[in-house]
Amino acid sequence: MDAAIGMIEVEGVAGIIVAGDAAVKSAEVELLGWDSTGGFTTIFFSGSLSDVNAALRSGEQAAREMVEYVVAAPLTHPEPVCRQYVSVPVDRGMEVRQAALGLIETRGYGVHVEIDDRMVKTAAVDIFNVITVHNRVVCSLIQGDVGAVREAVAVGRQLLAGYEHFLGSAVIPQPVPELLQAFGPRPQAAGGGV
Amino acid sequence: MAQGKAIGILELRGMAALMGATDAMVKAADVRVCGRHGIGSGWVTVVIEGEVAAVQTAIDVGREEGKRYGELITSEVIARPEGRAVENMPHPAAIQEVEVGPRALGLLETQGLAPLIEGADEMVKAADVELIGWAFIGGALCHLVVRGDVAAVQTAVDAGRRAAETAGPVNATLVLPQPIEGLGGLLPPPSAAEPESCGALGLLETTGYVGSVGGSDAMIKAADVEILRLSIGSGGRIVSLIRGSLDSVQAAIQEGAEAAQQVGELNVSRVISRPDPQVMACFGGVVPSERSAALGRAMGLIETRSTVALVKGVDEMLKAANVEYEGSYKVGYFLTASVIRGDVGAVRAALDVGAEEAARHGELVSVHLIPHPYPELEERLAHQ
Repeated sequence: MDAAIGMIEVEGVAGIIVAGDAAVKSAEVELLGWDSTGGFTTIFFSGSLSDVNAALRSGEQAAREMVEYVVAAPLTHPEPVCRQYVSVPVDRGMEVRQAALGLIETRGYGVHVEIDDRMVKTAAVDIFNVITVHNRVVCSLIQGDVGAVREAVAVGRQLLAGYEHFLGSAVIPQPVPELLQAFGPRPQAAGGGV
Repeated sequence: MAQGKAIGILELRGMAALMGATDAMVKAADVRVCGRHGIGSGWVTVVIEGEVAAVQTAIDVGREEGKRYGELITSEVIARPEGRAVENMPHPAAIQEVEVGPRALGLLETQGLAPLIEGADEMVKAADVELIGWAFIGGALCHLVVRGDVAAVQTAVDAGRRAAETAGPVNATLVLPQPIEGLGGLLPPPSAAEPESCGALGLLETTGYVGSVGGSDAMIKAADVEILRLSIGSGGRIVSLIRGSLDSVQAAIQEGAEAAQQVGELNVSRVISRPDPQVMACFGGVVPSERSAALGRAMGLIETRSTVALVKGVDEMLKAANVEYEGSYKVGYFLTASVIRGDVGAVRAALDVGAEEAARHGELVSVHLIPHPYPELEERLAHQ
């Protein structure tokens, strides 16, 4: 009950990955996890109220550079029940490799088979996860050295130049481990898919 | 995934398009279906493998065939796929392999479940066909598949389309006179329930959980009817199914439609006066909830199109009055609902505060108080 909780909600999933990274780096907050509701996703973190507020500001700003729909709000003194809304908690036991993270988000799944194939061939990167949230949003997460990830994402974007359902891309050179543990592969598909 | 094979990807909107295209692809060239994936809003992908030329031929055929029944999103041929990339993609070969058999298949695809049920009833009455099952693929698109002799399937599909159109939009119909064996992974899972006859069937389709619960509450109080299930669809649609004598069902549906309209958004309400036993088995199976009923306590419901708004609202509600959080439900189309319990006065006070707080952060869709929920309703609720 002591800690405040910060929530940032955006459309799609790439936006909250970027926002979550910015939030955790900017203040002393602990990443709790995320939730998806038919196309919107929300990231949750906790800390002292001033830390949460600082993290919200930088997270929101980072998200706004990627997507239009962003809502951010703190729970200053949250009821314990509020934590139940974190449907995909950070899996602290998950082993993750510290490496740069690249994101490419589109509506549509088919193109991801093609761009993931091309990205892996272009540079020394691995497919970290492919996340499907509702409303057709699919996000590919790749990992590798910063240079390799940048190169791969650039090639992916080039391939998607004529694709009308491209949503966005980002490169996080040094993601915090909790971020990888929140968005890494799970036994069952997190967030849905039909 | 076999070594050294090319893969082809075809993404379409609608299951009729995907099944038609897949059937044509596998007939056109020596390729094998090795995966499928759906991402909501009706967008579905099939992945095939084979020699490069065969995959190319198949994809060309699949594109044309798919466009006849739906919308083409993407098609791609990867001549030499990189295993590390392709094997990590989330497309399993099949959710459940269903035997195709030598008989013809017919498919009806509608927007919303109400027209599908209306169509299904007409199909099994119009011709000697067997109803295999039904499924949702997101964006409120749902489809059913029947099996039988070619002429019977054709007759049933035509009749089903006409009947469905009276209750809502029909997206596509498809008849496959001689389906290929590889289609098994694309068929909906067969229904487990035994066919049974009953009185009349009533359906109330809303967008949003709160409207459906409000409508169902009104129906059960209006007449002697049994709620079979709140069938959760996608694209935010929920169908509440009731049965009883024709008089009761008609009275209940009239009350329920009015209530649902006041609480949330009503799409369509229908009464099927004498449903076929096959249709009852396929759609009417009772799905009991695992929750224990909080007997005698008032129920408060709030629904938003934002998790942040909902959590803020619930946090305020729990602080404002002596109420308990019971559960939440997501129905797609950005909708998410939460349920609280307490004494009538406390729930009312909490809802007022919660609604105001939620509206400050996002779109508030519905707020509803049920002072005295019946156990018959409680047993069918879907939230957890």
